[in-house]
This record gives sequence, structure tokens and C-alpha cells, in this order.
Amino acid sequence: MRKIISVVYIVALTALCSSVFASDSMTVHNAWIRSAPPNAKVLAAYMTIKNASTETRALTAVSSALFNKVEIHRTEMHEGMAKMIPQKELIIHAGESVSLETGGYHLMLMDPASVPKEGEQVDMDLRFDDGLILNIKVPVRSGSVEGDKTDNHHH
Amino acid sequence: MTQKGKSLNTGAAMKILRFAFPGMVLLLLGIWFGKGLNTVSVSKEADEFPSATVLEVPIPLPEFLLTDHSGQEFTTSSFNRKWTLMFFGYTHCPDVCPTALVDLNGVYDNLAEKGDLIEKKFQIETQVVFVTVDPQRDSDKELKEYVPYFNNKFIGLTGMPEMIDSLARPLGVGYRRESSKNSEDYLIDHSASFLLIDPLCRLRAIFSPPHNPKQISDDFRKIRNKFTADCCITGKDKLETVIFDYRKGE
Repeated sequence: MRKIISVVYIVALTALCSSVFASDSMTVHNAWIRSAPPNAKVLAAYMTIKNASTETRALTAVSSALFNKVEIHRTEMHEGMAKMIPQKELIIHAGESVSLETGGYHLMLMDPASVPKEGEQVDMDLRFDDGLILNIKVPVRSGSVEGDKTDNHHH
Repeated sequence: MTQKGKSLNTGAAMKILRFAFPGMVLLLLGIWFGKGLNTVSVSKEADEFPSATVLEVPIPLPEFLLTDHSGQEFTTSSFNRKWTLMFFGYTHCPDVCPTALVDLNGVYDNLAEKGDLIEKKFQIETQVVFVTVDPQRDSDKELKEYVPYFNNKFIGLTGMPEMIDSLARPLGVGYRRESSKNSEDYLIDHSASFLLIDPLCRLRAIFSPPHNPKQISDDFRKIRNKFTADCCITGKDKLETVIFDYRKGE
């Protein structure tokens, strides 16, 4: 297990510049955290996770030293009402990718030790059902129209 | 000013109710039958305002008293002579509310870029208001740090839960605290639409999600062009008169 982690970590480190994080099977693209007011008690992280393996995988847990708790959520709109549905896991079928984006799946980041500022990077561990742990660094940026509406949609 | 605003003349109120009542009934039926606010859509050509549902019969805001994020009173009459974009949310909301505030900022920027925040003919300003549905955690001090982060002109409002209820309900804005979590971490389901309040303190249009700031600012301009004159009839003096009639107790 430790070997996997360190391999993943090295791969992740080498991929840092392009902000793509990958094991041989799972890759994370366009990860970002929306910058938030200094007193924010919750933030959200968005990204696209691709499963290049031949088996269905699931993201089962996420942790970050900066946040007391991270949950996988999905925003659902029903008759104009927004409802947040906690997800036990996030299924990613073989060869497919799942986008976490505003108004849909997202990681709910709770109780920050301190609210990260725009431009900072936040360390996060994504745990998958096969034991894989992907360590990623997620940049903080404002959720401006150009950023979140055009970037993340078609991956 | 705010004191006076609280006493609505009964005659005037009845007059407003008579006009508003069919609209409110339709609105409530729309919600109860799960068909949403679109059923009260009015505009004959749906294409006229792609992002908005415009109410044929605008719904007057009820009398209320809230506190803005600077600790000042904010009442029904704070909507007088302004076009107001209003959103109900809460600061412990990770996805929908920050997205909404960013989108509202987009709308605001689009208007500001073209020097269009103030309606030219009648000099009617535009304001953006964020009303918390979580007054238990969102004090005026919390809102003061939170709301202006997105735009320092935006106004955060909080107050007694009953006051927030009494403002939200007639406007068809629903919210419900989910019960599954512990008392600290609860989430709130809530309406995610932007409401447009006209210069006579009436709900005039609803922008349902998903929100496209560019389209909303275009539609807002068109709605404003179409209806500001109705609210103002023959210019500034008349607008004052209409508002005065509406709140005859003043």
C-alpha cells in the first residue's frame, strides 16, 4: 500500500505543473476550490475525475488537513429548490469520467482551519474503493463566469 | 420613514390585494401542484425574456423589518424607487449560494460596464440583496464579512425568523432545514431563483436557475425598459405620488 501511495505521489508531483494528477488508472483534471469570504465555514471543490481502467471504480472518501471534514455532495434542483444530497461514494465507470461542477457534484469542505486565499494550493487525498489514494493539490480561485462555466464542462 | 412604512392604509392594501390575489393564488397553486413558477408566466412570447418569468400581476412585498449587514433597519420601503435583484440563501451553503452571488456579481458587472446600473429616464438605481434563510447562524456581523466579499455594493439581510418567513412566503420562496444532521452542521434546502423587485416594491419577475449572467442582465434591461414607465407613469413626481398612495399612512 505504501508503495502505491509513494508511486502515486511521485506521479502527482511530476504532473503538478500541468495540474493533472494521475495514477495509471485515475486522473484528475481542472481541480479548483472556489475562493470564499474569510469567515466562510464551508467551501466547495470541483474537478473532473477520469477512470482509464477497465473496471468501475468509486471515490469513497476525501480528506484534507486544512478541513475538519470533507463530504461528497450533489446539488439537485427540483422545482427551483436547491437540495444538497450527501453521496456515500461517487461511481466512475470504466473508461469514463465524472465532472464535479457548480450546481452538480462537488466536494463540500467543512470547518477550515483557515480559509485559503486565492492563488493558494490545498492538499487533498482522494481515496478510491480499490485502495488507491490520490494526493492532489487544488488551486483556489474565484468562481468567475469565465472560470467555472467554460472550463469544466466537456471533459 | 421606516416607522411610517409599517402602517399600511387598509383601503390601499385592499386595493393592492384585489389585484394581487389572483396572481398569488396562481402562484401558490403552481407551487403546490409541483409545476413551479413557470405556470404563472405571463409574457405571451416566451422568447421575449429567455431567462425570466415575468408576472403579469406583480405581487406586492409584505410589510417587514429586517437588519442589513451594517446593522441598519431594512424595510419594505427600502425597495422604493429601486430595481432590486433579491436572492435567499445562507452562508453555510457550499455550492448554490456562492455560485448565485458570483452570478449576481456577473449581472452587476455587465450593467456597470455599460454605465447601466441606473435607469436613465427616471434615474432608478439597481440594488442587489441577499436575504439569509439561516438567521440562527447568519448574524449581521457574519453577513458583513460574507456578502461584500462578492461585491461591496451587495446588501446582506438578516432578522427574526418570522420576519424572514413573512417576506419569503408571499413571494413563493421556500426553504426547509434538513433534519438528518446534528444541530451544528445542518443544511437548508432553499429556492435558488433570483427575484426582481420593481420600484413600487412588487415582485415583477423571477430568474430560475441555472443562471446565465449575460442573459439575465439583457433581460433585466428589457424588463426595466418595459415596466419602469408603468411604475413612474409621467416621471419622477408621479412615481413619488404612486408610492405615496401605496403607503398612504406615511
